[in-house]
Amino acid sequence: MVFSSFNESQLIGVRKDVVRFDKGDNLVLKTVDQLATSKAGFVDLWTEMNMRPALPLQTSSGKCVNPLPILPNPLEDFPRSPDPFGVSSTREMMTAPLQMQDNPMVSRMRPSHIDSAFGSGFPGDLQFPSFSPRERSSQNLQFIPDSSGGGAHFLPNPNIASDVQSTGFNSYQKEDDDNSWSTGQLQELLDFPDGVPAANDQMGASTEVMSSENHVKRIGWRELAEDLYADPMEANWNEFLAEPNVADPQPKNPLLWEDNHVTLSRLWKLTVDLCSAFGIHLILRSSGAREIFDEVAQSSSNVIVHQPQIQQQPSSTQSREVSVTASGNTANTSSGAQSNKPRMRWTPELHEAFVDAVNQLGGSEKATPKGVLKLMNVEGLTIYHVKSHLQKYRTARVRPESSEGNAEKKGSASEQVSAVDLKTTMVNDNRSISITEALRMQMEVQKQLHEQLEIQRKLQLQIEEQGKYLLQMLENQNRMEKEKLKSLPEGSSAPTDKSEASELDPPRAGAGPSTSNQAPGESSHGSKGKQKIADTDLGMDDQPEAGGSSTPPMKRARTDDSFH
Amino acid sequence: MKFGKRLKKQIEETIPSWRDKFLSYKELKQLVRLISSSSGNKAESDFVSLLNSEIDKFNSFFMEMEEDFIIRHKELQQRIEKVQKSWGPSGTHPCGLTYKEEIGRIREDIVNFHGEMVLLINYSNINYIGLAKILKKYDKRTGGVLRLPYIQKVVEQPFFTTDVTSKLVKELESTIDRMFPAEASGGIGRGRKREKQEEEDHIALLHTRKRETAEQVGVGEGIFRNTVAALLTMQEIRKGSNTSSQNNNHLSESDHLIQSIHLNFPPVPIL
Repeated sequence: MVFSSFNESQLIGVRKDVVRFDKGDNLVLKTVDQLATSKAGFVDLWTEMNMRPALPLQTSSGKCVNPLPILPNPLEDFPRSPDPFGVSSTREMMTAPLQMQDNPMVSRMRPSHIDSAFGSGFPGDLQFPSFSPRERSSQNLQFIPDSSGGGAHFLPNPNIASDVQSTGFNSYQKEDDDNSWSTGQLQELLDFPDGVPAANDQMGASTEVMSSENHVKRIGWRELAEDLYADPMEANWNEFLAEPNVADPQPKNPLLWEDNHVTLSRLWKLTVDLCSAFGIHLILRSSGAREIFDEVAQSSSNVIVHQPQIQQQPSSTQSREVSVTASGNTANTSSGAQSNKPRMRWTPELHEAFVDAVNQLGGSEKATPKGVLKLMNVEGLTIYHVKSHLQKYRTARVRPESSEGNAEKKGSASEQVSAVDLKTTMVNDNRSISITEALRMQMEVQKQLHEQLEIQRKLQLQIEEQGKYLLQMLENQNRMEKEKLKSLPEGSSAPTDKSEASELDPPRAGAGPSTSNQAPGESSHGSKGKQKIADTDLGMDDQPEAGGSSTPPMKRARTDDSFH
Repeated sequence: MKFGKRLKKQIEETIPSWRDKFLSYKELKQLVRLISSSSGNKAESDFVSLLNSEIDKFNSFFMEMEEDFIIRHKELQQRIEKVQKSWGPSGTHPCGLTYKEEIGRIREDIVNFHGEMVLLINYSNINYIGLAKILKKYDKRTGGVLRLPYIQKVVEQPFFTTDVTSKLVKELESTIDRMFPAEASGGIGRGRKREKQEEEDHIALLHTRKRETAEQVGVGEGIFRNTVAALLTMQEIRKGSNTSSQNNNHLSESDHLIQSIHLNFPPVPIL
């Protein structure tokens, strides 16, 4: 563990038997082994760290070591920063992300949502789309064609206030599409990805796993998150605040606070790049989620939806109905006949249908792509998809043993057979147990890795989700404040400011304890991630507010929703 | 150890055909370094375009593998069904394989298949971490706010949505519990205490097995080694990057086990 740019004097009583400074004057915690030899324990170090007074945020150690009591405090130390990006103007552009929050489903799986949060710093042309998710009535076999690359269509009118919104769809299409939306597609878009339940099941499963896991592991993941996301906050804070006492010298970007206009254009360019990368289309919208798509349909720009969550629904009903979320892709595929460019994502259900069709046609050798395609009767599926899939299928069937090993197998099936032979002969010895046991062990190790990966993934998703949420909350807060200010006559604006300003400190302090209060109410793994996330993303924003006093209770409610 | 090095190690130890599918972390880092505050335009756009092409790479590779997995999974299930049906009375299959042999093969295949899928999820994960880190560096360097929105998009990408593969993995795990007769140790999912003792024995046995089947370096061992290496990397990421926990030892029992396995089987690149 390394605390970078750590100012030794800021630490009360550095224990030399626990920490040391490396070449870069970084505080390094001694390894487990080193500590084992010394008598120092981690517990002691923790206690000491915790007893330190609040450190300014620049000290990364303060964050890493002591997330709970200390982190909220540094936020108090920061004055309101100047708004380098004209964020205040951006704020009013954000309309009704609250819509999303009403829906518990939304709050649960934000990252899976089509949202794109382009950060507060972007010029006031982006909005967070707010969709009203709807229940999917029937389970469908989902065919989601994927295309990679990005043709960008956006209506470049950065100065239009309040109405430009990025759809935030994941579309990676290589060529420009000229597809208009059909109602069916809109339906797909507006339906909330039913991958949520599936994902939530997994989340539930993982929390079960967590509770049975070693306590230590949980902490490990939280701190992994800390490390991953600790530093950018630091960086951003320093740059946004332009404080002279920045302890951690960073390459100050003069553009940031000296030339807002240049920054805006840079960011705008970045936005454009991003959009083109993902084929995100910035569109004009009036209000409401529905209208977005209506307008999109009307406009010539096209949007391709890729909702990977949808296809992962536990579709128990083996319905043959497949909704293609982007018929545009199909059009592309057929027009760009040679290439398989829009990459299709096969699902187990689709494969079932495929196998059924193949069997009906007499087996993998007899079946033709055309026949299979017809039998499957899946909208949006092209013959090229079926062709390539059939090829793979045939390969897998012909040599089921060797196909299990793929390319990395050195020899042919014969080697495999001989290995098995050896093992089976060994079955007769005492050492035979070793084969099965060896396999078991391998399995155990693999299982472990899988568990850990799941946990890590959930954590990562949570972090991003929280970041987005907090950002939106802050935008909302600012927007509401601005409106307040506007509506008030000049004379009373001063006291309002004061009251708002004074509100800032308590909520900030309140955010800390209230955040930590969430811990008991949730799964430990989730809560620990949250605490850090809260801190992390509070730091990430360019406004040092922690939100109004309504935020913590709201947040608690939301997370209770999410995590029961 | 820095992430770049860890990633490199992972790449070295991974399945050979996967090696060029990982994140070009070093390259991206170099681009970030090139970005200067004054005229960062070209470097920045290079960076972003490289990022995008990397993501494309991940996506197509991942989806390709996923498709393969789905097919193989089904095939495996069919094999198992066939074995259970036609060879119940432990007769002989027409092609001469005995029941035991086929079961043995199926078991091995299941375990290896399981391992490969898990390694794919690991692939996804480590690339994500790399992306997050490189975006962090980028933001730090440019003062930009690329990270947050970009990572939101990443999270939605196919290569990161590993649900299907994960589900297959879990299904395999339940399948294998049926395939492995409940012997002395009582199946795959055992208690931790017994596990440790047994696994220590297994290490020794594995050692023996390795020596005896040295020339049979098949997929299984390679995958096993990869998995161990992956676990170690994750361990290191956890250990090296975070604060110590309140407990004395933040490495769990299983972590130590993995380390000891690692020592016994120094990872050798699969050729």
